[in-house]
Amino acid sequence: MIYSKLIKLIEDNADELTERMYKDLTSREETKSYAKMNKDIVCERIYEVYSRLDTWLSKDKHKSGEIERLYTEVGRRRFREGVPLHEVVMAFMLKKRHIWLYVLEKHFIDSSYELYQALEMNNKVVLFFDRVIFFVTKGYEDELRKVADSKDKGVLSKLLKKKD
Amino acid sequence: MISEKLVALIMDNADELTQRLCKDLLNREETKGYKNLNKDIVYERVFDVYSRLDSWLLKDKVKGEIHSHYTKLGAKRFSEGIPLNEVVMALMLIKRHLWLFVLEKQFFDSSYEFHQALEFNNRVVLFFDRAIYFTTMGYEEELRKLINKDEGGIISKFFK
Repeated sequence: MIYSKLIKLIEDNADELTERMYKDLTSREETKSYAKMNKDIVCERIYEVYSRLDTWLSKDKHKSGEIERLYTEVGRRRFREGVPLHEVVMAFMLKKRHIWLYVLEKHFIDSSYELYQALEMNNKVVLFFDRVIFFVTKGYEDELRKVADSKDKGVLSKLLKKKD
Repeated sequence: MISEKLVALIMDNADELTQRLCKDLLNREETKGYKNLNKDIVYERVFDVYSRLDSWLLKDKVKGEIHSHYTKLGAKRFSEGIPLNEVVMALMLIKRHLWLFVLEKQFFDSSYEFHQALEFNNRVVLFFDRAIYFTTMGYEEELRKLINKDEGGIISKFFK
């Protein structure tokens, strides 16, 4: 099945994809904070997604709450690391984009059936990264709110208080 | 061209799509902040995206225009007190409903049509990626202004 073939293409070339993604991430103005971070750590995080893409795209990962738990924590961590949230969001968007660019580069998709499978894969990848970005944003904001509530009881905490 | 056909499909059915999206948006836990907003305003904002989709996708909207529009949107949502994660989810839902509608109404047959559908899908994804990115940026900027107005407490150290 072409879907499995495309996923395998990404997983089998996770190293190359990670290098490309790292190069892009650390040379862009929109993600400049990542250039200051330890290369091994950044690459490890990227590689983790590409090398196990099939696992991450499976419904079980979402239903079990694992994506929520992991990426809410990632959001919290990025806040503590002082990386602006929009840079974190861009990093995940780039991660997603490189998957598709690689597929277009390496695999010639021809028949209607192959295109249908490619569309299915693309949509699963988009859905996965949508969930990631949502939970990362949530985790980041949670940390921000804790700090706001504990230290600065002024306008900021009033503004971020939930309207219950 | 099918991608123009798909854009026209969305624009011609903008009202129906907007109704569907609003119903979803106002019923979800992840976007409960929108319940506090005036329904007509929420409708208007969503309708603007669907009814002018060609303007956002096909007429080579300069990246700067998306930047300007969505950073302002982020700033506005901040002033309305809607959590950023809910704003992000709302934009994702707008995108998702768009594609679900296309799948529901359009039957793709030839490999040419599938190619076009793929192209359309990627343009939509790219547009919403930019929208989400700039909205996040605009929201954060407002937050930073507010933090800098505060007495330079612990939060400002994080955003230096």
